[in-house]
This record gives sequence, C-alpha cells and structure tokens, in this order.
Amino acid sequence: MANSAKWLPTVEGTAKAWSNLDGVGTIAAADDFNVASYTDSGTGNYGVTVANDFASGNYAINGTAQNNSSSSGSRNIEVNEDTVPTTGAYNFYSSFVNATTNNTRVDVAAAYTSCFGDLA
Amino acid sequence: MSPTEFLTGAQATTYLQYREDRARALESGTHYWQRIAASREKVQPVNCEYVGVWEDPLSPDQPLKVTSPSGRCLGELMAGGIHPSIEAHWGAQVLLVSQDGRHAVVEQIDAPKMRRELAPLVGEWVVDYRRCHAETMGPLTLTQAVEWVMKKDVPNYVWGVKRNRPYFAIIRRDQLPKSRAFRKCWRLRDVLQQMGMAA
Repeated sequence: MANSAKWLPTVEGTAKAWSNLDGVGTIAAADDFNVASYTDSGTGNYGVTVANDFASGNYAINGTAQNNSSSSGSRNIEVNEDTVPTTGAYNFYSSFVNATTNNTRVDVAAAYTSCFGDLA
Repeated sequence: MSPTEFLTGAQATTYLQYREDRARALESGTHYWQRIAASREKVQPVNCEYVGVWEDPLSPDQPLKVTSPSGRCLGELMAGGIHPSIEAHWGAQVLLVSQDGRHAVVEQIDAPKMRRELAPLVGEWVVDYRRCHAETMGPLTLTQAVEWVMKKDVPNYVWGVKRNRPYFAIIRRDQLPKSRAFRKCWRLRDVLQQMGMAA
C-alpha cells in the first residue's frame, strides 16, 4: 500500500469479506478475508463473524455450496430467517434439496460466502 | 429522507463527523480494513488446534456452539500492527437513527449490544469505529490471539458472568465428539465429562 489513494476507486466494488468454509466435522476455513471466527451452531447451521464490522446490517451476502457428486440434488446456502445479519456477523444454513428431500439441513464440505457493503 | 433532516445540533454534527472520519481513514490508508487487506500477502495463516465451545444462557434449548478462530486472523494478530485492542472493539458505539417516518430516535449503544440487538431495529445508523481505525496492537502469542478472538466473538454474557455451571470452555479440536450423528444434542457438560472434568 505504497500509494493508498489508488485503493479508493476499488474499495467500493470489492468484497469486504469472504470465506471458504469446510463445514464437515470440526469446522475450519480453507481461506478467508476479514473474518475473525466461525461458529458451528448445529447441523448445517453456521455463523461468520467479521473482523472489521460493516457500517450497518444492510450489506449483501452471496453464498454457494459445494455439491456432492454421489447424490442427485443440490446443496444451497440461505441466510437465516431467524437471525438477520448484524454489523459484525451473519448466520446461514446449508441445505440439501432433491426430488424427494425438501430442504433438509446438512453439513457441506465447502460453503463459499462473500459480503458487499459499506464498512464501519 | 436523509437522517440529518431528523437531527438537530449536536446529533447531526456527531452523525456527520463519524462519516467524515471514516472517509478520512480510507483516504489516508489507515482504515482497519485496509490494514487487513495490505497484510494479506505478508502474513501467513496459523493453524490452531483450539476451539471455543459454549452454550447460550439466553437460548438454553440450543445445542452446543463451536467457535473456531480464523487462521488468517490469528496470523494477523500474531504479526501485530493490524488489529486494534479488544477494548477498541468493545468501545465501538453506534449512533442509531431509527425513524418511523415522522421522527427519529437517536441512541448511542455499545458494540456487544449492537451485535445482539441492532439488526431488528429499523432505520439508519453509523458506527463509531474511529478507535479501531486509529489504534493497533503489537504481536500477540497464539494463546493471546485465541483469547482476543473469543472475547470479541463470543458474547460477553456467556464467558464474563459467573454461573452455577460452565457455559464456555476452550478445548482442543480432538476433544469434541468424533461422530456428528447427534450434533443437535451436543451439550457442554457431555464434552467436559468426556474430558474427565466436572461440569
């Protein structure tokens, strides 16, 4: 960061935090940015706490999950309806859906999330 | 409608001052987030065998929670010069401008309350994060770094209040149950009893 002014045009459009979380077994991140810790709150129920908080809870969260090639269906990431994002943390569920299974919570081998918004 | 239209005098000044100070920190390259970004290519992640296990006294029916520190965050804490002290995080305040279309409620609340209770409130707010931008710590040991993360991310009413049984412990990863078949039934007392500790 020799010339910090060059950062300014890019700050608005960049992900302020992202994570690649291994949610099977005792959770651990493969890699992340601006994340302080992860919390496993049950099967398919994860929390991410950022280091530098956001200015409000109105930031955008994107999430995808790695699928398991041995099962036909999809694994999804959804932000918890009962714990909406706060300035410093967000929670999400990972679930499995196929023709016979309706949105069952499962642990996923990789949960990818990224956040865009204004920083505190 | 801008929040400043609801505010008068000192309130509006404080609101605008937070925003100006944040912009100034970004321009000067001293913003907390910029320090984290700049360290990315210099600091290596640290593998940590410890996790925090805790139950929420406010939600006693919830299963045991397991908090695992980010290896990158631990590396940054051990390198020093990037993260502010835990007191700076706790001291962060928010100026809340909650509006119902006719009037605003302006309130300053501290960081732990902000994390727990701010989200359901409707309105606009700005976080006073100036101390986090201005202050950095020196290098920490791994033990100190894990403690910093737990004190920041586990609610202080879990670990900071003495109760008639443990609600929080830091243990090694291999001390957690191997099978996750009954993950939603995990309780702290079971983990501690398995370790031979009274719960």
